[in-house]
Amino acid sequence: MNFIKKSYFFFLLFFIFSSTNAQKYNISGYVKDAKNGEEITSVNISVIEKNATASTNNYGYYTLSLPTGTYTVVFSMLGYQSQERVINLKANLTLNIELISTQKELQSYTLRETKRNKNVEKVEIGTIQVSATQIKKIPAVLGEVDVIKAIQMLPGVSSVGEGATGFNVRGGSVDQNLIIQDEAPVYNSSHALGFFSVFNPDAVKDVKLIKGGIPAMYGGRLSSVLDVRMKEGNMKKFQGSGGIGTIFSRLMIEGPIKKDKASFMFAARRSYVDVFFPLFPNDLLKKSNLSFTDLNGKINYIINKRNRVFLSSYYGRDLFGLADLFKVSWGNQNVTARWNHLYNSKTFANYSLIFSNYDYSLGATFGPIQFKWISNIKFYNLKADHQTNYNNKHLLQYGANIIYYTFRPGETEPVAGSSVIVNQISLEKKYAFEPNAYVSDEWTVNKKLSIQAGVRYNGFANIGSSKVYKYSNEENRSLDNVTDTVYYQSGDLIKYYQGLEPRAAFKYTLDSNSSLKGGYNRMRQNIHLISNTSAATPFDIYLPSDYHFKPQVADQVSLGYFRNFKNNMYETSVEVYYKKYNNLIDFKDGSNLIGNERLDTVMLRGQGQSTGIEFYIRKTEGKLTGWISYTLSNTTRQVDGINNSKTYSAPYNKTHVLSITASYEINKRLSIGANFIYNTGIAITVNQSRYPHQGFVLGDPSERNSYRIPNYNRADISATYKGKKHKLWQGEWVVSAYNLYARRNAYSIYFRQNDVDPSKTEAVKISVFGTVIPSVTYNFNF
Amino acid sequence: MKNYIYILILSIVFSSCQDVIELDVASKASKLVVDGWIDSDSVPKIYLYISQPYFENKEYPKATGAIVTLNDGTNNVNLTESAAGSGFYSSNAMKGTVGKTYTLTIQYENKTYTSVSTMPKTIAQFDSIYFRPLPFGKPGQAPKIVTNFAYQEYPEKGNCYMARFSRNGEMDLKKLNFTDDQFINGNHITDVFVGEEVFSGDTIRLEAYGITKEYFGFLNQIISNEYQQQGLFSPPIAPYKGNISNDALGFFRTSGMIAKDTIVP
Repeated sequence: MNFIKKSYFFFLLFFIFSSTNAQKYNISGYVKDAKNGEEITSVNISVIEKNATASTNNYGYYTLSLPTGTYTVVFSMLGYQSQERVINLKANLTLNIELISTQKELQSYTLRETKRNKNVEKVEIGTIQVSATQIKKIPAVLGEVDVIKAIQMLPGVSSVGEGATGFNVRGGSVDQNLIIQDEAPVYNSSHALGFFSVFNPDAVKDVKLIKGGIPAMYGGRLSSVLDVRMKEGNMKKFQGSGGIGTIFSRLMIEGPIKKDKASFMFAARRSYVDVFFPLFPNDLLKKSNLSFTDLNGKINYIINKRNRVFLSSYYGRDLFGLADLFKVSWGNQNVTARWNHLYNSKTFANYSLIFSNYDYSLGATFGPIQFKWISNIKFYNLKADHQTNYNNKHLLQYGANIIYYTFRPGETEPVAGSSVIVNQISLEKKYAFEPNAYVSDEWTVNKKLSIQAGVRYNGFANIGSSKVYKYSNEENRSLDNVTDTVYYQSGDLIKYYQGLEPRAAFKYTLDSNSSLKGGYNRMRQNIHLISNTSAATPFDIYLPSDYHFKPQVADQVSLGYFRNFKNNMYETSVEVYYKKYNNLIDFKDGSNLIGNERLDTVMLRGQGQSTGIEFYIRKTEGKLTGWISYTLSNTTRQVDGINNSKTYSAPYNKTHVLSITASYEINKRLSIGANFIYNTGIAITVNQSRYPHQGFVLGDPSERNSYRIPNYNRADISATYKGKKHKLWQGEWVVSAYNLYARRNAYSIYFRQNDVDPSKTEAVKISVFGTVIPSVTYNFNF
Repeated sequence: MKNYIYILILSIVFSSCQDVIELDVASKASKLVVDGWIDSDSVPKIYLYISQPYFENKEYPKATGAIVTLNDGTNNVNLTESAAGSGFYSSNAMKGTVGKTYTLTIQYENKTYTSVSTMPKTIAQFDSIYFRPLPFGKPGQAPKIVTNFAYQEYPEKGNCYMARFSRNGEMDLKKLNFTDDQFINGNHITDVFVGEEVFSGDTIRLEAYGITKEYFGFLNQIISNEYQQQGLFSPPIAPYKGNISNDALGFFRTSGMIAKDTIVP
């Protein structure tokens, strides 16, 4: 098969890049936290005598290349004491460093603030790293600390609304975010229909959101990358943390299996409302379930100086059942095996084998009809990433991967005892291979200018077995103009798509406190969320690019000005972006997507664009910390066949989005936090006129999404009180109030006939929270 | 089905947060509205209206004085307005036949509107009509007794049906029962329950209509636009896809139809 040859070629490509550089020697090693032995990412390494800098990668590894001589090397990171080492360089040198945290608060969260003025100095644009500590400071719904809720407060990020799963980045839809947890994709990032994210904050090490200038090593989605890294496990001693909240109870333990050699981390989280169900007198409730669970486990082992292996896994599940009437369940599971290898002091490699699965099932008893419906998507990925520091001027990254997908969009399973014969229906399974390869160079041209340039190759092979319908008019497919049906055997190539994705970013330093940055990226997406609602549901399915569905493609350019004030106490930035989408997928008006065997006849293809400007001010130090972000943006679509083929607003297109989050440390024990959110209401279609039909009052609607629901605003507060430090453990109480002034924010508006007088029609606003939501959580660590 | 379950879950969780609000909506040019049909062995019935602003809350204006004709492929009849100003057009000169193609032509205020529909067959017969309790009821109450029927679905694919139910002469048109044969093609279907609770001595009338795929889609849109909007995960409201030309609203339905009366024992 053609595509396998191609990917083989790209694998070969790596080994052409081998480094030889005679006159210089390398300093390299890992930077770790002295307390728990966890690798620290993004640590800044600078050489005082030379204009040479480096930073640690995602695995805490760094490398520097210098001529023979004596140097002072400084390792610095916000939240840690800097360390200086004087070295006499005569040969390649391994220098592992342990930095001591300056953070005196609860140690369950390792502070991972960015290096002072890293935002100005680094070439990356549109990238924000958030630490678990920062996330913890933000007041949350029902007191449950949440990664995604924190992400939604950053500039350029918004959500469809309370109770909506996922998030939107720079005008992209929910399925355009590549959400990876220890490199494995997460297809549904929420529990409980969107209220809580699947990431257990106790197990999270750090979170990085990339929304512009996306590096070539990432691909597969159009709009953003959310890279969530879990803790590796403490290499020095046993410790743990946990909490008892309003919704979840949590426990995380970590520790060495063999000191400084191997460690583990295990975290569990479960909601427990349903534990009390059997106590209720109501029979219906007694037999019902409602629960969400997350399990994270990780082991890592340092084999020797050059080799280290990791095994990380996650299991998440939502269960909802109402007696025997129906039962639904959905969840992600994934496993990642990683091997870090040092070829030599200049070349760092990471090889991963990743498996991920998302599935849902629903069983129901509707009168005589009983059925069970199941659906899943499976993902297998073999991945190689390399990083070579040629000299201090070029940091080369290159790699390749091949993904195998199986899509099971849905099928009924027979249920014994069903009295009505329901035909077995089975939506056709789909299979695909996706080979990728990339190469990228971060080139420090001079003191002021750095350039990151790269290219990513993306291929996508939809393979059999499958049957493909051909139409007399491919652009206007319908059940009536099928001309032929072609059957493909298992493994036969149905369609191969390929393309190059150029990526580029630059940084130009204006002075020691400010810089100008720019970025361009092209992204291709081959898995598509099949949904025509404004908010995604856990029951939406993903389908691959195939004979009729083409890859979605987006191009984005962005430009930003970054400036820090008062010795980096205040970080500020302004970024503008323009994004263009091609082959966006939408569906014909009124089409039924559920159980539809012929989605190709209701699918439409269109284009879209987003423009926006983002302002961000963040105070990083002092008693008062937090940020203000404001985004002004517009996102539109144009799809032939929708809205008379005229341009319309994307549903989640919010013109103004303002988020403020702040926390204030009153004293060592007590701190308070507050949020304020304001945004324009989402775009909706309204009924403009009405007419009768067989007893119904039917609406004749406005143009698609030409109206808006009322604007959204909300404030939350929280207070955290730390208990005395006991010999073995320390606890803290968190009291919070969400939606402080009990505003009934509109989620959506619908139209109906009045119950009493059906000739009267009215508009009804739906709010998710109609009141203030108080909560109390107790956290502890040991 | 999945959407319904989802909406159900959400409505349990957030049942209380709904408020009727005033919404400032621009008005739209009014259009001709057709609510018309012809069933097998029955005369055509065509109601013509003018659409009105959504929050008007007055009686619909009627389109009167229109010239309405119906052609069944061989004959052409004029449908006359039953009383001046009624907006109701009919004729006793034509009765519906399954398989014929009907062309409705309306001339109104210097515009011509047409609609073409081929009358689909309905089910061959009700194999049985029987009364039995629903499989579930409210806690602490006996399940309600409702009307059930059985029928044989045709072997070929692509048939769509609609059922109507009346109890003691009262019919609620808004209780929609309709299906296509995607999940049931060729099967003998039993235990299809329709309508409300029935009591001994009631006279029950069941009507089964064959409907076109277009009308099946129209009814699905009614479900989507008028019923599924209440959830948080509703599809966008979309304009109805009627079968009248020239931008008129509404539908002209043709149906093969059978009916059966039964007294509840």
